Amino acid sequence: MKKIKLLLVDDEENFVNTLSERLKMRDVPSRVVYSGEEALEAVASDEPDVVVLDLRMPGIDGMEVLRKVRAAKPDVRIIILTGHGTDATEEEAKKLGAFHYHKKPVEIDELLGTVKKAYREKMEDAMVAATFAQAGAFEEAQQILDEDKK
Amino acid sequence: MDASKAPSADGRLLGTLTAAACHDLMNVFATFNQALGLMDDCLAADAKTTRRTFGIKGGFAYRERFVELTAMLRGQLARAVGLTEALALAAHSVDGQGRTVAPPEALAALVALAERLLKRRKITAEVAPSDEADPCWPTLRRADYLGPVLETILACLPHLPMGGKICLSCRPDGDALAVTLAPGEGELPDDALAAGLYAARAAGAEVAPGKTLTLVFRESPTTQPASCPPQADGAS
Repeated sequence: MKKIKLLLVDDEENFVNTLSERLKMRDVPSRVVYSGEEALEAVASDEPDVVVLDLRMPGIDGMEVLRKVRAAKPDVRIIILTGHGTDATEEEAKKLGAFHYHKKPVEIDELLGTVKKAYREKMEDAMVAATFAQAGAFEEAQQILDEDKK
Repeated sequence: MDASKAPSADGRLLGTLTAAACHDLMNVFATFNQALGLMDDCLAADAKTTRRTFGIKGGFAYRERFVELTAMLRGQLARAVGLTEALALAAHSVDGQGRTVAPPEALAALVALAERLLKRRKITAEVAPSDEADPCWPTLRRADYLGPVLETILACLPHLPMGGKICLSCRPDGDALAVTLAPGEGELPDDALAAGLYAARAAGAEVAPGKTLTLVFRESPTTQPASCPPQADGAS
């Protein structure tokens, strides 16, 4: 089975490294970056399936990363994980297309469940689109892919 | 509440700084949480190795003690997270940011923060859930009712029996919020009732007549009209 390509983005290095180590123990390896700029580079070069993204970071913040990734790679699922949660940021993130919004501290199994759900949803969409494309129904395939952008 | 009750610039600044620090503490707690989780994972991996190799490999001698210690630390961490969430909620009540909560949750946060003050007289406090399934709460700023409720509780404290209990409950009353402070059993002692009454009025609350202390808070003319749902506090 294909492994989930997971990207973790957080400027709290101790937190994100420990989280990555725990995910690896659960057979879900991940790449870790510590800033919004690095996150955008990693998304462009690695094309991850799922990104776990902090909101408040120096430089390009999480909301801006979310906006840019959704515009450039709409099939990438983005999960927000923040210690700075407010109603307003949650609403904005969801409006921008975040898959889920978790507040810190979150239990590893809860986060892992969300990551797997996001990955499953991405794969299902890709498979349905591929099936339509194989059958020559390119318009329908495109429609499914466009759905991700919404 | 009249406009003079609006928080000062100093109050708003303190609220913003406190809330920002609380949010950063959540990052610290999240790191503790993951580190504790990793310790648990390592202990579990050790137990698995011991079982799989029939005791030839693994077998950390202090595993059980470590399991107890991580459980204890998790309990303390949960307490710290709870207090920090309550503090962030209280801090945001003066700067008008943060998430929207219904009055019972805001009162529960107040009680959590006041626990240390109540403990001086070994008094516990609890907030009763709302009687109605989905009440339509009036639109009030949290700061408008949390401050007077706290001042009333503190005024009553010296007159309550040691080791007693305070029950807080609240309900919408038309366009107002009614918060009732009652003892765990029986009636409030007369001197507690008098001290509470005086403190509540001094803090700008209306007090409904009766043998319990029921504080009534009305929407200010400057707040938005009540909406139902969501359960708004008007501050966010």
